[in-house]
Amino acid sequence: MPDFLKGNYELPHRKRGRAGRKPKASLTDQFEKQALAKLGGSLCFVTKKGNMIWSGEGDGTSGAAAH
Amino acid sequence: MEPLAQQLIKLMPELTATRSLDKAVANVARNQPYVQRTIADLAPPAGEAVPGSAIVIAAGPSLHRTRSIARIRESGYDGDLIAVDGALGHCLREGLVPDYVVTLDPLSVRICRWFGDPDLASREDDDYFRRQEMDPYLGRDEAQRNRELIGLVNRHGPSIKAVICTSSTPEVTRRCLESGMALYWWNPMVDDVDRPDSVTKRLYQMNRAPCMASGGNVGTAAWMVASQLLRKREVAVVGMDLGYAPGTPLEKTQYYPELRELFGDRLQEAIIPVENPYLRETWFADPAYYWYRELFLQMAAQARCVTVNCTGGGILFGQSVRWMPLGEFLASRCPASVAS
Repeated sequence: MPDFLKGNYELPHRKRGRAGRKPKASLTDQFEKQALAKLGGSLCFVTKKGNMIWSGEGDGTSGAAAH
Repeated sequence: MEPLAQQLIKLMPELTATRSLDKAVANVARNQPYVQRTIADLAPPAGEAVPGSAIVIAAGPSLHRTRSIARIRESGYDGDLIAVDGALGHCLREGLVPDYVVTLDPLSVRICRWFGDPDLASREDDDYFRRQEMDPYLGRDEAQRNRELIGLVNRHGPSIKAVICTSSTPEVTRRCLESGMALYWWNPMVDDVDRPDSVTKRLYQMNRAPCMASGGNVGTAAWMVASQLLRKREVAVVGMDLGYAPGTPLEKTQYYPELRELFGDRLQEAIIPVENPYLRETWFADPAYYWYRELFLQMAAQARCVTVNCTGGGILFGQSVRWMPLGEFLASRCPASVAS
């Protein structure tokens, strides 16, 4: 195939497909995280299954799950 | 629920960490000289059965709408009373002295106002107390009412135990001490202690205070104190709306300035309507409050105690929380009650 024919057009169905699907910007794309952080809670938080108070290495509780 | 609100709720853990973690950790270091007693000193001995109930007094708008504090006082209820910082002034004005007051917020010296701020005149102007719905009394005639609160807190401080998070601002620490409160410290559980780089573990190593999950807000932390620390079998909550009453102007909601600044005309898309089936009313929440609600329901499901919501308003209902009118709770726990 001659070089001048390469890449100077796209198949119509591919072109429509791409143009019709606008990528959805996430909130963190739209706003600085620092700005959005103003909407956050008072204190960050994790739960611990069974025991939600941890009293040091000898406590023996584990399995914390970050929220 | 609008997609914007859904996205924000999903982001809440990360946004909260960005907002508060550094300040919380810095405050732990600043509070270190004050850490003497910890919440371990409040816990009943391991294995000992703890009878009775407690009432957690949060600072939601139903506290005023349903006169919860006056009704508790009138009932002669003799279980433990655990108030959040924002409800302290309202309790004391009504003549109800809580056994405990819980405070945790790392973000602002404005929390000092809940205890009466002796340095109010030198603080930057802050319209927060004119907008907030937790204790509207403090939003008018501010200087005079602040002085009044200082007097009340100083009078009753010696009989109140402050359950204070090491993340609190040192201004709050000093105010609690000045009023004569005994301080019982805890560290915030901010990550998994089993991780080798755990921040929570590092905080513990600094001061040896137990680490407690807060549920992201002071109301849930107060419930933690009743259910997990004091190990009460039954914990009633009042003022735990985690939402706003129908008809509340958006300008009166906690995150209004921030939501307006970020989303402008789209602000309404961040607001979450919640139908309360017990009241047959549609309350609403912002993403942070809705996140608190979901966390509370998860934590209540894990707890051994029975949680009874006597708020009479709000969005906190689900399988793990029993809904009950306050009058019914008080009447059954204090037979001589005059509560209605």
